[in-house]
Amino acid sequence: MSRWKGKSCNGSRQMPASGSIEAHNPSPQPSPHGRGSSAVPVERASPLPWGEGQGEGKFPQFKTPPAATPSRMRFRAAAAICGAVLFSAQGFAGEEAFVTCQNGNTVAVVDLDRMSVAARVEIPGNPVGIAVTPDGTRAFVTSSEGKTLSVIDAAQRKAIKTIRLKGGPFGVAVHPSGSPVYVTDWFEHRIFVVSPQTGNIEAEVSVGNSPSGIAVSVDGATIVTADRDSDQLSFIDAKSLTVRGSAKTGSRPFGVTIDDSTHRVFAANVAGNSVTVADLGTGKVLAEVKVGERPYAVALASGKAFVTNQYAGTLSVFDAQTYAPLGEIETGQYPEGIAASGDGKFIYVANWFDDRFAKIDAVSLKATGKVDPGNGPRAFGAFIRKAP
Amino acid sequence: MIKISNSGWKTLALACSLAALPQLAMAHGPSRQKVTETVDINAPCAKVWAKVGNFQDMSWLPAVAKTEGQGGNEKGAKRTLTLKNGGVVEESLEKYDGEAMSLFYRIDRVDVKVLPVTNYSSWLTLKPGEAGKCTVEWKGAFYRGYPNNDPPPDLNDETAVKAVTGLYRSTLDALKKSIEGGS
Repeated sequence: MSRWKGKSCNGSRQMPASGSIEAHNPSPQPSPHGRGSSAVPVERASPLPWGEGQGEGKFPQFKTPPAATPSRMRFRAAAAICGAVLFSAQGFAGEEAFVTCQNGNTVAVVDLDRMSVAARVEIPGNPVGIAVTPDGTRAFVTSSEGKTLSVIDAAQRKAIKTIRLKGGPFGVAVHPSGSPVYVTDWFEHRIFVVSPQTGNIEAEVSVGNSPSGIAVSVDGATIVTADRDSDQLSFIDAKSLTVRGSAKTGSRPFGVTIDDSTHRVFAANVAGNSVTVADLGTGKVLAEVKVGERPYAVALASGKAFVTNQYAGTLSVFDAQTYAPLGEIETGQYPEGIAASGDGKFIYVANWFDDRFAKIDAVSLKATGKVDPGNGPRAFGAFIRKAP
Repeated sequence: MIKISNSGWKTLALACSLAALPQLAMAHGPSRQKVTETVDINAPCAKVWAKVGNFQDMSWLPAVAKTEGQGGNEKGAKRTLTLKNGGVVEESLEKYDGEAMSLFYRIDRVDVKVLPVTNYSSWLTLKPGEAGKCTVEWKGAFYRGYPNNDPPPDLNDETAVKAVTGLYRSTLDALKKSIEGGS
């Protein structure tokens, strides 16, 4: 369906809300990028066995409308949005990064146009995980030692609430609507479902061992955790808060990123030096891609996957469809958190060891800017705030 | 800054006389720690690099009795340090840049009784200063010795940072003394 190619203006989690659910809905036609093993299954509704014999049995019904024949009108709307996004010079100016500096106990707010620190928010207890709401009003931060979830008013650059959790709060993701907030517990092998309004833990969901990275699909239907010490991804139904199944990964998956446009999950395997790609709906493992030493997290932009390699001090770049390697970029010492700009033109990387937050052109693969955000930047999660 | 009068390793051994923990493969605490120590040496960096730039010779670390290894200064090279107190540390070379005078290595295996850390890696970088002086920077990244929640005091973050800081400080001070003293 070549006419749909134009709509895939961005594949990463940082797609602004204006991209609309429509633009990301699964199409029953072969993937617009459909080559090789990455094609989306044709019949979403048919029950398929869960990948690798790990699951709870049946392939879950896909929650989003099947969109059997996308209307011309819908296509036009999507095309118009993409057009506006791609061709408006101002479209993605004004983005900011909320960078957790774990050793400095701060969150740096970085102006991504100027690559300068616009503000610093004190967050005690070793802040590590970050999730900015799609509307850009709030940023949620986990503190692994303080055992808290902090709520930051993004415009005011101020922590407005500190929610006491337990265990080892680590990764964090937020429902596209801004609530609830999902937090992985590194020690007790569960996720917390937290209401940012009341500050209460509304539910807990048991997952595999040492869940680290967490992400929510753009339709809000599926939560995915990387269960580091179980070598698996868990797929959680966000509505019923039940685990639908799991997918076997390479050794020690850590960061997890959802590509909503193709319904795939990318997980970086820190001990496997690889990235596992799985289908978001079925949990089927589509590929395991070799990357550099000690990979941490993945970002998707311009049809490419960018992977931070902590020990190598590089980004591995590969084609997000064919999985063919496209090169390696020197970035700094201990690169960790990584995310794409809303237009997919730039990649931002937090280099933990040399306190360098770097900007990289996603097309030329060249570094174009850097800033010192504070001590020990990790920025583990969706750290980009779209322009207000 | 923590001043440690005797060998860093010896201090560590004392500080860490604790029950052996099962070494869970790769498991670690939630916050990686960072230590940076530097020393200014009144000698050209080339001279300092000649002493510290060979991955197969860790004799500049006072507590080391013997370095054995293979792979020279190539990425992936291995070395085993045998300490004067009998402790053993296995390390591998991750990055090496002779021109920039920097190297990055990690510990593959060490008992927390020898060094109360896990997942340790380290950069050693030489930076030429004014008037033929050289600044040596040693940076460590590691997790505390206890991989689970609510660590005991002798395996917590603070103990890990103190141990590595003490090791770096005493070693760098000894290096300065040795080079400026003409050896």
